[in-house]
Amino acid sequence: MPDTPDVTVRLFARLQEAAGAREVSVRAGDIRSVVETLVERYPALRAELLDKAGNLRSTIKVMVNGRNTAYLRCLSTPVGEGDAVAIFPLVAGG
Amino acid sequence: MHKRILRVNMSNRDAQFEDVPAKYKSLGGRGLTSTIVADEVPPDCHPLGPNNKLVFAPGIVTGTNAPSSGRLSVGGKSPLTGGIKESNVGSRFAQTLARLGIQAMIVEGQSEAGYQLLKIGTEGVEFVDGRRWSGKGLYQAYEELHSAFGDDVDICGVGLVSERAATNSGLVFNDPEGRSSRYAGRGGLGALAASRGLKFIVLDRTDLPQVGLEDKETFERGRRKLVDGLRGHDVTKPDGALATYGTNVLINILNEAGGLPHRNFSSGREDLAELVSGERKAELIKDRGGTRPHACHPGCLIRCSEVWTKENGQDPVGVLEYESVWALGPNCGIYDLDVIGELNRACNDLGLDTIEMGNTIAVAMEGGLLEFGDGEGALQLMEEIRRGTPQGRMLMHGAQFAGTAFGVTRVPVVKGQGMPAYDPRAVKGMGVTYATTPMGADHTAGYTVAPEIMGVGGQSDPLATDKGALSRTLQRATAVIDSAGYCLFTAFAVLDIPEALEGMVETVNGVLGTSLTVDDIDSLGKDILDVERRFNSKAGFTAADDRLPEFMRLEKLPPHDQVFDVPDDQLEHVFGDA
Repeated sequence: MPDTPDVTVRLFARLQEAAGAREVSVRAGDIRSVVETLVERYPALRAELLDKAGNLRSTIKVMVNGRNTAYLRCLSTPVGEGDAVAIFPLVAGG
Repeated sequence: MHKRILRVNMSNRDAQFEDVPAKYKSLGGRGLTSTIVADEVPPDCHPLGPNNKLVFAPGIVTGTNAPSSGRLSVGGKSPLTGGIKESNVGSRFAQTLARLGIQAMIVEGQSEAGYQLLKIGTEGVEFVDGRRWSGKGLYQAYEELHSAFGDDVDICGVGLVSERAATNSGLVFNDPEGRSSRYAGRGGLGALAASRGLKFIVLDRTDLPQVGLEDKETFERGRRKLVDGLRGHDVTKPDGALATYGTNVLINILNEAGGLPHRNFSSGREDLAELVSGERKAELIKDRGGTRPHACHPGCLIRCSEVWTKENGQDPVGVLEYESVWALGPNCGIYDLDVIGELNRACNDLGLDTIEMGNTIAVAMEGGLLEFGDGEGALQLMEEIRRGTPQGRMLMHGAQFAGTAFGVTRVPVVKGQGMPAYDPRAVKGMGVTYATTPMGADHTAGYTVAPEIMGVGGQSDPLATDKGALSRTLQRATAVIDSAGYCLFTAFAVLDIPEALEGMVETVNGVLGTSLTVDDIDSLGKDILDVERRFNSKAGFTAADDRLPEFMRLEKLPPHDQVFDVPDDQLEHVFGDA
């Protein structure tokens, strides 16, 4: 994918442990390709991010520049050079 | 078990057990403390004067084997807000009080014989001269109390700032190992206790019966459903987010969402936040030989607590909660967990609420007393408070007082109470809750963060402004959970799993012999909030008090450059009939 930008992706909580990394760089043009690249590179992330049908788990929060993609274009949300992607499993506290 | 009300008159050192009036029979926790306060405390009284009362009530199911139900409500007229207050804590103390058959304890009058220690057991109530523990740090005092009374006791007390009538002073309770680390921290109820002459309460927990059940079958059916729900939910399960990382797991997601207040609510995101995150803290606790996970009371399945220590494993603090880490950390520009741990330890030792103290330090930093990020300076301020210097006394009354003292206009309070760790410009439902709850700025009163940030209990865009109905629903549900005696974190499971919510209601029915349903929750919560709001109205509160500070409507919060723009008429309709 020579024309797709480098995107920095940060992983949190148990996703860090599954990937063995906190921050990774992927070449991707939208969130769907970010997720596909991650599960290919880190097989342990597949069960964390995707359900049995291969869909992104509803409990996973993907943010682009601090906005939950659920309020943008979900998996079709575009990402470009310099965008910050953050992926969280279900966390809560208070 | 015959439940009774224990009325303690500090003026004449008299304690009497009373039958529970019919109107209180089905109440517990917050519903009971707020109703008693509304019935017995003149709303226009001075919070530290002779007419205020301190009311303790375990939840309805507290003391049973219902999971995560070791919760206690403490109520009174707040010295900090001037309104009604319910402050909630998880501690075995709550379970022991319930198993002593005490549905509520009312402490009234004012001691003329100096500070008293109340020793309560199956034999009755004994007044002990408490002056020997006056002026001491609470960690030391608790060690001495355990030496004096043994290990089979649970202890509640107040620190030396309460003795100085600090409006930021909480009530401390023991964790399962006896440390003075669990707090009903908010609203200055420590000063209210001290103004009665109450220094410590020691409960003897030997040979106590279980709390009685009116309908064992219904209770057990409900308990099993709730246990299954808690064990099955990603947040509350044994290896879930709360057990693995603690409440501080929220630092990263709130920071990423632009809603973690930094440097006195001047920014919502900073890269340094990760240094004080739950993930980082869990690593350090493991490396240092601290304890994680840990339960704040026996029978908790969630186990979000922990024991934080210094690098060499010394000086265990107890839990560093998310709110405490944020308040004493990023909100003060401090990104060092060891400094935060020592600030938290100082708060625990002196009897200060960490949220209010962090806001106070941040406001003092804003006012130029010290630089943001000056951790050593912040620790020095704690020593000023300990020594009772004039500067220390300016810092023990909360953020609003500090704002006045240091000429600061960016003061993040509602009804005089400092805001918790969610900036309402980036998480707007929290702003609605902060503004409208009778408690003053209180995240636990209606935790809209769950759907707004975490996606628990539904999804709601945190930057959208139509949050009145969401806040109202959650405020009512919370009032019921606080009355039932369940930890608020059970809500993460019951909001997502209908059977678990049904089970929660069935456990209440099992204790009381009632036939409540899930559909009754909203109206039960409304009744409690109506009682609290009527008290505040009689105390002089108006719609103008149900507002956020002006700067939040004027100053844009980075990175989303948002102001708080929920219209006033929406705030005024939160408690309408809609």
